[in-house]
Amino acid sequence: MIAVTSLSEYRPLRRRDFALSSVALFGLIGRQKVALARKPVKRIFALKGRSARYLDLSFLTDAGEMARGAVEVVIRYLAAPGMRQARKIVRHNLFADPAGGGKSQRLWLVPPKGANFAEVSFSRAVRGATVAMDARLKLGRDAILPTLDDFDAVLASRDLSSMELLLGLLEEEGDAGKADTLLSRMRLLCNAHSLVVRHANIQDAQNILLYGPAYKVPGIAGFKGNGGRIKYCSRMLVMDLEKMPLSKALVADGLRLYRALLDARANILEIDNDADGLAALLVSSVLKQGRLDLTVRLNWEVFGEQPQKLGPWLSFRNGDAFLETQGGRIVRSVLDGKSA
Amino acid sequence: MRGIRQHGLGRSLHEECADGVAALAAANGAAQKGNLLAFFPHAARNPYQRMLYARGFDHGFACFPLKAIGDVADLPEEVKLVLHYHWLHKAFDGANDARGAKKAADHFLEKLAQQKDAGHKIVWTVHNILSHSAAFPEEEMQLRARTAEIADVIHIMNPKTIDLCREIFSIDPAKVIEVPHPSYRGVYGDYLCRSQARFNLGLQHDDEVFLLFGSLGPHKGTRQFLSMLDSLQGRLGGKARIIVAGTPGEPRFMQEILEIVSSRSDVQLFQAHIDDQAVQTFFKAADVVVCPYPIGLNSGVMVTAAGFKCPVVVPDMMEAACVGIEDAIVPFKAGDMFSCADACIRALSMSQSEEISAKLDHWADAHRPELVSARFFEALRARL
Repeated sequence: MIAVTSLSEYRPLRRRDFALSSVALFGLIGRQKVALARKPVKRIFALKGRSARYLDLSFLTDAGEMARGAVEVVIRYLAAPGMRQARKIVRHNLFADPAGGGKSQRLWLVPPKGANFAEVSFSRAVRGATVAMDARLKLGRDAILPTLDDFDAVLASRDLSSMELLLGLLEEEGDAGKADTLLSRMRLLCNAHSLVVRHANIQDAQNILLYGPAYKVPGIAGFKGNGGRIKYCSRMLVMDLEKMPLSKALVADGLRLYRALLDARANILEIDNDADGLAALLVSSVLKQGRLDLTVRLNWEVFGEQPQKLGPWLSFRNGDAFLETQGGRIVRSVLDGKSA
Repeated sequence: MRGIRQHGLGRSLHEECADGVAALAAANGAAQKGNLLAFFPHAARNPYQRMLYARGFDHGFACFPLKAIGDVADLPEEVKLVLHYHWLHKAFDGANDARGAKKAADHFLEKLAQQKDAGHKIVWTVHNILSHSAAFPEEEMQLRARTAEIADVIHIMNPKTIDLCREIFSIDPAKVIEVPHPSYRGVYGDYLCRSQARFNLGLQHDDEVFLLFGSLGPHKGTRQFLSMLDSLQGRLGGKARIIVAGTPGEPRFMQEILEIVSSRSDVQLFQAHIDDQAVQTFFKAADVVVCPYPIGLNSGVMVTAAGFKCPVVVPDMMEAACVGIEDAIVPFKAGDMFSCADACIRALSMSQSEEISAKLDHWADAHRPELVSARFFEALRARL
């Protein structure tokens, strides 16, 4: 068989397609064999109940090799058609196979509570190559969502949507090893920033356990307080580990804390043992190791008894379990003012 | 140069020679007899040739690329050229196997011999011991040996070239001109500050940044370097960040690199041609530049690092390539990546040294392209 090397049989999107897309009715009838544009085309699906559905899609490119992240698919889960406020938005950057070698990719739709419709948009996410879609936009159902028992099969597949589901399960389970393996595969298929961040969070957590949070807050030399104190609690933390890796989030919060100390002319920090005790502890440690004239006060007994969690990969039945790790010991000696 | 030729200003070799003679007369007076220097192959994206020939007219040389070596035979009898050959692996273009490579090499050498017999002067710059990407090493060794015999003048940059090449081919010292690799001062943009460069690449101020720069291929030791990264990270408390930047190589190799890079969050890959204004971003952000090559003689990357005042890790055969900055060049045992990790740690310790920085700065200034180009033409002229 001679492989098809061009995408000449795929038609470009027309004005009519975009007109239908404007009311989210693109690809209502028949099989769609179209060359995608940077401008997305949208299609809405009614969801009855909360069971998972799927679309089987195939994307092709005229580039010589598989194009990573060639297609952006955005799923907006809505309570009703035309609503501006989505219940949930999920983005996928799917790959495209070279022309002639396209294989189907399954896109899972897992509606959140209250979502009765899913609006799915497709657009070309790369420049310089033609990317075409070959799909019948009809929701499949009666399929069983992958579970962790399917890990090996999903890992061997190129099904990013199933991988995303498994990654969520692995984060809940705290299985960093398998998550690391899965994220390596996902990044090979699609090097989206969100995946890079999630991957970096695993490595950062491992580094913290091994070396302590060995990050430096820049520009804090010469700090002198005047005996004032501030209480460090959850509401002062801004870190969002979906948006940036843990290492950077700790430095960013460290800077924020430093400015709060400056504003209060304080050099005594009292860490509140609330829900984000571990995060506050690590940020304080990052700041303190910059050789600040800073006294950190914490009720270690209470911290040691309470469950501690920061992101999916630093999760401990209690604070003592963290403090027993090498990184935990380093943190304690830094905060106690001893050398690590 | 490439851009101009792509836009319809290309000329026949004959016309180019006539233009060259006229331009030389205009520049130096018609009474002066100049030289027409045609170089091959033309590495359009690599600024090396533009740098080397920058002051040609000041010394009576009009320099231009030769599209095909066969074109020389069509020139009128009275036109005599200096034919300057660079990277010889170009001779193997189109060869699929050793037999084809042998045939291609024989063809190339035959042309060279004919050119010499016709009264043209043959100059060869020995860039490498063997090409980085030598697909036919046996045939290339023979090609190099024979080219060294035919050439009238052999240009070396690394003072140890004769010794380092001896196992593969001999170079007659009487033919040699030694002119170092120019620095890239004034060639690459150099106006960003380190903070901006690191910010652009998403690097933190205290990351220990190692840069692997240049076209990506299986011959550059990139895979081997990345495979020892855990050992390096263990010694740096997980603070090492690796930047790999350069034009992508063949798809199968790139797939391997992507697989390694996708499995690590401490490696960033920029697989694209890095334009002259963007080069500074990578070098300014780096603490250490690493050339983990299994074999080498000279390196534009090493010289670029020097220009950005960055210590560089190179295989041991390259350590003497830049006279005067040996302190900033940290060698490792070629092919031994644990030795390379040691060298990286040593180089890191000197990355903040003002003394090293001043030395590199001075070297780069003293090796500006216009100065090295002048030295090259003075040395060449004395041998013609």
